[in-house]
Amino acid sequence: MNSNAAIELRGLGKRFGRRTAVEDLDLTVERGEVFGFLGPNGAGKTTTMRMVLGLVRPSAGRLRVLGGAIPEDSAEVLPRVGPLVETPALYLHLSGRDNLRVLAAELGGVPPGRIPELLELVGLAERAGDRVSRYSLGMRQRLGLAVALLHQPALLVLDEPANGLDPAGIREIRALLRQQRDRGTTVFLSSHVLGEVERVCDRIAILHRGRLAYTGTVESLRGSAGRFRVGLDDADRALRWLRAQPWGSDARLGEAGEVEVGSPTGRGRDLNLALAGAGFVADSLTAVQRDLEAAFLELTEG
Amino acid sequence: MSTTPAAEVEEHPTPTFANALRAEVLKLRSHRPTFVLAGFVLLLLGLVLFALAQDVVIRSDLPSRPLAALDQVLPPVQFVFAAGAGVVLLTSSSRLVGMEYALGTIRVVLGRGTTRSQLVLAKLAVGLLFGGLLLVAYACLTALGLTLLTVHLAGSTAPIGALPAAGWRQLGLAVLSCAASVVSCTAVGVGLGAITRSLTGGMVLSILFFPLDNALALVLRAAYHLDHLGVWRSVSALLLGPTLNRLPGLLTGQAAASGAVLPTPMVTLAGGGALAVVAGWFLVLLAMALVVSARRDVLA
Repeated sequence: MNSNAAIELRGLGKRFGRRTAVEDLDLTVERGEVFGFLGPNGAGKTTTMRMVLGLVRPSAGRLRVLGGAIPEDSAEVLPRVGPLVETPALYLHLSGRDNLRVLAAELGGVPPGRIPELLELVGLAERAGDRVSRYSLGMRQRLGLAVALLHQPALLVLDEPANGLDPAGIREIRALLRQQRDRGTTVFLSSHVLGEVERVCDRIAILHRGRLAYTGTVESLRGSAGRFRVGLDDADRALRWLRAQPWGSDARLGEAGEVEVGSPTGRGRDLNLALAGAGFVADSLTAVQRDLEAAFLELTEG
Repeated sequence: MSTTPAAEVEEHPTPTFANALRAEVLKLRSHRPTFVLAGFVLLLLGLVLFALAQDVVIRSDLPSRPLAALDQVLPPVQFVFAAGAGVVLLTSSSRLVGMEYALGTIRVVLGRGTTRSQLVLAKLAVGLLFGGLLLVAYACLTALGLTLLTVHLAGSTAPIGALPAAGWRQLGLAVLSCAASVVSCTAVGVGLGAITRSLTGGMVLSILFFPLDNALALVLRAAYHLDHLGVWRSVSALLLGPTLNRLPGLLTGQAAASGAVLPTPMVTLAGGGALAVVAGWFLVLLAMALVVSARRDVLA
């Protein structure tokens, strides 16, 4: 296993009775990266995050966090992790400030000055004395983030951190995550807001029915469509020729007059060679990138 | 959200038992209803002492036979503590455990490295600490109340000074009996909270524990009357509630008032044997709380 990885999962599995929640999951999150963890509801994201935090014991496989095995080394490793799993878990009868005080006491080593700073950071300084039961979902989410950041963790494990936030709040979360990455903090986050994942994540993994369906960069996921937009002088004639080819039957004319078509091998170079062989000279050839949502749906809906 | 905070955190913060204990104290301290309930118990003590002040037997015994007067006063005072403080401790200690699951804060606490055993032990320790403080407050108020009662009935504190050594021993054993009640109620609350992992379920089961335990003693008594098998008598000696009902009398050698009302074991144990039953239940409940906390997944 790679001891330099922030999170390393090997053959990880979890069964609840007869139901398989996660199966044979191999995943590596490098230190210092923002890693997006995607998947439809019930795909096993939260179960995986709970296993990373030592809350749920794996049924199979191995799991290392910040170099330590989970659950064996939990006591040494987890104090360096900042968790926010599912809805923010807070003491509703306490104020926002007292929640941070209690959880700071639990961990130890958090200077008193850290609490007002964090309340300021998440925009709750003015409501810090109010009971959390009077907070909106967005405010609770902000406080949950403050709890996760309380001890300046080396790894943030965030499950839907933008849940309940307005667009301005989502933008602030994005800035916060970038700031954390700049500090060297690794961020492992799940989200349904694909646009947000696209903007902040260095790499992503897509989980589908408990299995890994994709891992890599957002760019490579979008670029893996294997389709190209070709600018040609004689687009109509090229279109007829392409449609006659076994790999080009779905060729179509784009809005800007370019031809959109797949490649015989999936590579742009081979498409260009085929066109040249048929006497067509391409003025331009660009890969068609799917939007993330389309790629996500393609992977998870088959 | 604005800038990055500057306050530096220790490079490797370490959740310890002491840290968990400090956090549990803060959690308990912030729960006002617990202290309101505890206040009611102390108020109830005041009412009992006021009622005792009207008792003609105590009034006549106090100047000349202070030990006999003490025998009259102690049982109701102990009973109020066992029942009143018992309810406070059962609810507060089961709540300390159950709320973590009900609110989902168990994810935050365990997900940052506090171990499951540290958490259970810290909750138990805080429950015992709170019960101990409640006992000290109750004992101090009782002492003050009895002094005022003596002055009111006898015109001076002379009967207290005239109390023989056996009377002071009896008072010490009464405190020990109340301490056994504190330990039992806290262990039941924490144990059932950990087993049910539910705020409501833990509190309801904790409140029902002693009534069910006492009802079982009655069932065993009825079974014994039917078939005269010795096993029913032996089993009744292992029940926690009936043992606690009998404990004040067993320790002081007096028949406690509570023992006359509530079911007691069919076998008469020595004081040490009764304390061993209490200690056994404490250990069993603690072991169950630790095992179920350690082995089960946290899905809250």
